[in-house]
Amino acid sequence: MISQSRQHTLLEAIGEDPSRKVHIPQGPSYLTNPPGTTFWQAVGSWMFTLDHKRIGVMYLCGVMFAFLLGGIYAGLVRVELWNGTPGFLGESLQQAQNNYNQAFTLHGAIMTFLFIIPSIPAALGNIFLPMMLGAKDVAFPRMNLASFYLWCTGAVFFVATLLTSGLDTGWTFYTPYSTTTSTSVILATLGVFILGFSSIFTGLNFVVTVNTMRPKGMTWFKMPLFLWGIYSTAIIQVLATPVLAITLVLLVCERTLGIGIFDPAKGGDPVLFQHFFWFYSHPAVYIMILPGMAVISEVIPVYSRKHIFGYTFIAYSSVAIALLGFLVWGHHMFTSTESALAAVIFSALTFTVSIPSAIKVFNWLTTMYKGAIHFNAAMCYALAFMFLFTIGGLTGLFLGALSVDIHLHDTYFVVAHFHYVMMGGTLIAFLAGLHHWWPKMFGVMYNEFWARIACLLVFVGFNLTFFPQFILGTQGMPRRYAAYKEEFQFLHQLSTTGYFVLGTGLFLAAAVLIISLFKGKKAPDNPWGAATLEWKCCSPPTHHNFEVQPWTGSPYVYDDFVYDPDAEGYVEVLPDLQRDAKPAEAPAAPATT
Amino acid sequence: MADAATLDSPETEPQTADHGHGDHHDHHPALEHHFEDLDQQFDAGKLGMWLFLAQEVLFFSGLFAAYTVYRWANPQVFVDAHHHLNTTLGAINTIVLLASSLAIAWGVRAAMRGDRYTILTTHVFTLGCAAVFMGIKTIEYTHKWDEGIGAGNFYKFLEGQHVHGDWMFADYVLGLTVGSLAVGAVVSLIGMVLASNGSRVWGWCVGSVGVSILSLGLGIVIAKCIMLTPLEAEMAAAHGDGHGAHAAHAEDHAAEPAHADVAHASEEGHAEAEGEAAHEEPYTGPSPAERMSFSGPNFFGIYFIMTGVHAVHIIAGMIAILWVIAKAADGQFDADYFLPVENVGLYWHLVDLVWIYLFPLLYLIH
Ligand code: HEM
Ligand SMILES: [Cu+2]
Repeated sequence: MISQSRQHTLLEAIGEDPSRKVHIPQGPSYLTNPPGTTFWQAVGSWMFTLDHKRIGVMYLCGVMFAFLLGGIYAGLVRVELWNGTPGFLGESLQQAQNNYNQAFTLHGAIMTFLFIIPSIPAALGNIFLPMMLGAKDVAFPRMNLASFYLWCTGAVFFVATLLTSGLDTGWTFYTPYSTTTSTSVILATLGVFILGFSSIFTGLNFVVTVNTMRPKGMTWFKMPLFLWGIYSTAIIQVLATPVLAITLVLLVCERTLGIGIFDPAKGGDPVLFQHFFWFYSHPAVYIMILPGMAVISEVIPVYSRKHIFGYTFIAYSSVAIALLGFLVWGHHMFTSTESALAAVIFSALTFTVSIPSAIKVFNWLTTMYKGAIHFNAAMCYALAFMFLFTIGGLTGLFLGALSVDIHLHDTYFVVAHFHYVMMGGTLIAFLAGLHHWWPKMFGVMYNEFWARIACLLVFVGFNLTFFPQFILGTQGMPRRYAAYKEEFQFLHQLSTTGYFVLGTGLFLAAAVLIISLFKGKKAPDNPWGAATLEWKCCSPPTHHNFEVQPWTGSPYVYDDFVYDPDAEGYVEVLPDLQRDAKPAEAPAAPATT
Repeated sequence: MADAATLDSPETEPQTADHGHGDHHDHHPALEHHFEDLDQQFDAGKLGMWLFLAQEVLFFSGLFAAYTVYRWANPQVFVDAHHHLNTTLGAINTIVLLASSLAIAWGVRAAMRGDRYTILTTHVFTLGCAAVFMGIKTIEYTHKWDEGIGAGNFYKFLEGQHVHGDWMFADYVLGLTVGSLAVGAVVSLIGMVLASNGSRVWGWCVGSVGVSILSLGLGIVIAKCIMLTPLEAEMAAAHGDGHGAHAAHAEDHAAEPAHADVAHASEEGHAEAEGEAAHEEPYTGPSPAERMSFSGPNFFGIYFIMTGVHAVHIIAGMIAILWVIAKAADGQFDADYFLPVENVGLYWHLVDLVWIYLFPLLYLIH
């Protein structure tokens, strides 16, 4: 292992010349207020903060709350499905089915719009995107705060939906049912509309920040891959979300005024709604997964202690996914009166999307090959991601194949597919990122052992929950039904059991992290020896992130980060210019002591 | 993008060669703390605006897509139904908006030169044009309402019959006109008094609001005059026969339970939305035989949504312009810093551009 032998030489080098060790100035944490702040001033300092990190932390709390809420609804769905007969959600079939419709709809809508879409970009992205650029903040801090409050308003609308007559249209709001059901479609659609603008604002902010606020030495191809992923996501957020917004406006008008755009009873075309909806929602699945991939691209090289393999391929594949994602929405409509020609074209295009996805997976694998892999919790999640996302992506190909999809459409196979990509992909990546960046965000170390146990439980629970659903789907179990035939019972019970294992794992992970806030050891500035800029400030960072401008080196070269037993973390050493003959444009003397 | 800034202010060329922190030579009051210099701030702000405009275009694109799909499938309905739109009013509104765009572009140019007074006058003029536009729209909309041409469920128009409600907008137009002209004049005067008494910001703001109200009245007067000219009557007579499609729209179609579905049962549903009596029947969608064809009400559904969403954008633009007027009156802009003027100008051009498409697509169909 080349990197290790090099570390050795550098260790000696510090011994000879301690001045080459990069000193990171410490300062007051962004989480605290100056002494003497009263309680209400402190509350105000959070509510009106323009600090991207604080906004990110508030987002983090918000999305975790949404996740909990969505998770409870998932539980209702799973418990009802323990038996093939109605029971838990209602005595009669009618009653159970009505409640079941509400439960899966609210589960899906909350998870998609309130949790997954904002999770990585708005929480982790908000905190780390400017820091990875060495910037003080995002380009539009006020818009950033507005985006958070829009998210809150959207959440209030959802809660209002729950407290009124609920929602039973499915998260897709398909017409004509959504124009005729008596549940609170208008409240929910307005909520999604508002959340859409929250998402657009976040995306817009990120595109502008990356475009205009990169430090001088950081060209596009020297950016950390996290930024490429978030950037591609942001482009989709800006360009796809407005189409959903106008569709929902039309839906609200349809319900209130009966304008006859989507309602066949009035001469409208319900399939048009599906086109509009998927024109947003297929790209939106990439809004969900690209940030996940972005996190994984950061985590894998750090814990493999190896330069990321195929940097440019990973970078371009993010952009390719973002662009191709706009061309495949028709694969959700193979059975919705789509012409044979259109179906074939959409099917073919769908296959092309898998190419950039596969490129990423292969590059991560190759990065790990012969690396010095450290099985930290973050890395364990990243490995789980690779496994689960691959299954999710491959089963997407089954669904993209026309003839197969005619059989599998609207069965549990689809449910399993998208949970493997959304939960096995995005959520797991979110957890990987959370564990990776936790010490930087909050300045504390969590218990590695229990974090890894939690990861294992999540992994096992996840597969137990969702793998049986692939089999159920191929056997013909349709989605969105509260009751089913005897023969499906065993697999459903496995799945419900898995839900509880998964839930336990998630609660354990949460507990480990939350306990660390109170009991955790103080985190070193760079506990994992990562080379991206956010690790070149103190943990937790100060309000302005960097007290001195950090040197922008390569984000994936770990040779200059050596383990310092005193700090229990890594420190950066300046390359020895005479000995290593580093490239000429090496550091213009960053601050050292 | 950057040349616009540097063109007029070569002194704001980036002076800090290093990726510096801390000391800026540039202490412009408008420079925000997280930007390095005004150039960076300008680039960011402008890119942000362009992205916002891209977002707006996609927002409208859904409407245009719906329009295209339905027009493709039902060309005759579009041709027939659009005769209820008054081309002259649409044309005048187009001209008014073009004039406003010209004015605001002029204002941006003035801002680049640091000419504060011209920023103010051009923006007030733009605001006036916007209000004239809204005045004309008001008459267009209310006139349709009085004819029974509303969106969707509010469509009561039947060929050859006058569907007068008990309540007609027409009865109030005179009052509205006189009221807005009078109120507008008074408010404008107050604005002028304020401005001459030294409170420049309040003066310009109140004055602009006054001009808007006044122009709204003016728009109403213009629209009314045009509607009363014989041209309109002729047009109506010439095309009065083109509404076969409406007749086909039988209002009472009781919903037939095509497929009773446990999952999708609902009590109120469509029947209520239509205001019909079929309450006991759970609506589950029309059977193919009952499926209504696309007709006049659908056209006006599209018309009202497209123009309505556009009008909302006009109103938002007016608020933004008012904001620029307030900032300009406060003397916040100079040749180094005029980003808000430029951005609001860009937004206004987009809103105009949308109308440039709406006008032929809705009013000039053949
Ligand atoms: C590797 C690339 C992928 C391919 C080829 C693919 C393909 C498909 C296809 C063909 C369907 C339609 C199935 C049907 O309704 O019959 C589908 C459904 C779905 N996919 Fe994917 N997919 C991919 C990745 C993803 C990702 C990354 C996500 C989210 C993070 C995702 C989320 C979903 C969702 C939510 C649905 C179900 C929508 C619904 O009906 O409610 N997919 N996928
Ligand atoms: Cu899709």
